[in-house]
Amino acid sequence: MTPLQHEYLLALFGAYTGLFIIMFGFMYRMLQKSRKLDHDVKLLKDEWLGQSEAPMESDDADSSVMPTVRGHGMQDA
Amino acid sequence: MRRVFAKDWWIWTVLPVMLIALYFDFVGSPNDAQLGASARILYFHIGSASVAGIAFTVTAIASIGYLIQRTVVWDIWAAASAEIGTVFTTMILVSGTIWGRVAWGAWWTWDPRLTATLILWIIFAGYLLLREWSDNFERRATYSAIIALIAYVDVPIDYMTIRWWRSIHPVIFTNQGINMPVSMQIPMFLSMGAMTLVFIVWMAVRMRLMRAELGVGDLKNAIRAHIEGQ
Repeated sequence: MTPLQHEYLLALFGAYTGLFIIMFGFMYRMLQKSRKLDHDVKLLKDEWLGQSEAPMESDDADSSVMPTVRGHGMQDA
Repeated sequence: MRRVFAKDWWIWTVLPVMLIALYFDFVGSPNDAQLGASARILYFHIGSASVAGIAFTVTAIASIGYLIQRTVVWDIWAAASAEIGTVFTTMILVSGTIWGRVAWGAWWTWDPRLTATLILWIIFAGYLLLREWSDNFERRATYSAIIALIAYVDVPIDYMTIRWWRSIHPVIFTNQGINMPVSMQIPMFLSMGAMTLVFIVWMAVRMRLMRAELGVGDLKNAIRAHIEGQ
């Protein structure tokens, strides 16, 4: 094998390494998204359960209420 | 960021294994007597093919499981595995055409093996499109399970094409043994093993995301049912 061939094969190895690093990068993002979704769902469930267990002080409390979660970057009113 | 790496550390251990396998495939393996350096593409090609075969088999088993039990978990297994199988089939087709250009002098030929693989890729691409376009969970899961089972018929046919019909595609695994010198078998099996590990971690990650997305859907449905019940 000539030195040029060896360098060419090393370059190919580098290219395929890049391909798999990108693949694992996608997996990392998928894991991040899963965590965020799990966290948000838990938060919404807790808030919803908290609302339905809260004591009813008026007639309004019996009406359906959508759960609210403050999104990222949103300021308090 | 550190938490993602720390909690799922086992996923990241597969990356160096894959890179070691790639090093052996490209740099640490001998040249082929006839094809020279281009034979190295085969290691990646065969590894991708073995993973695609495993992935579509998992899809078929999970599809049967769904049709019998009608539980969500089977559908998640089938869908995640079909996605990964389709990605690896794309890798087979791409690496195969590159190798074919060197070995046969043509990017593509309507050889039985190549045609069967292309048909498999098209059917599973259709399967994934169906899943994207349908909103009704039960209907989507049922139809996709049926399509997966129809598509899976092509997997053993694809494997046997080069044995049943005249084909220019090389036959590596024969009744007489592996048609390859031992020095080339090592990187080939290393590649197959590493890619199988990649498939396992990818399945774990993809299924976790699908379950999380399902949790969002369940919560939405619960809220909708609660509002409608008021």
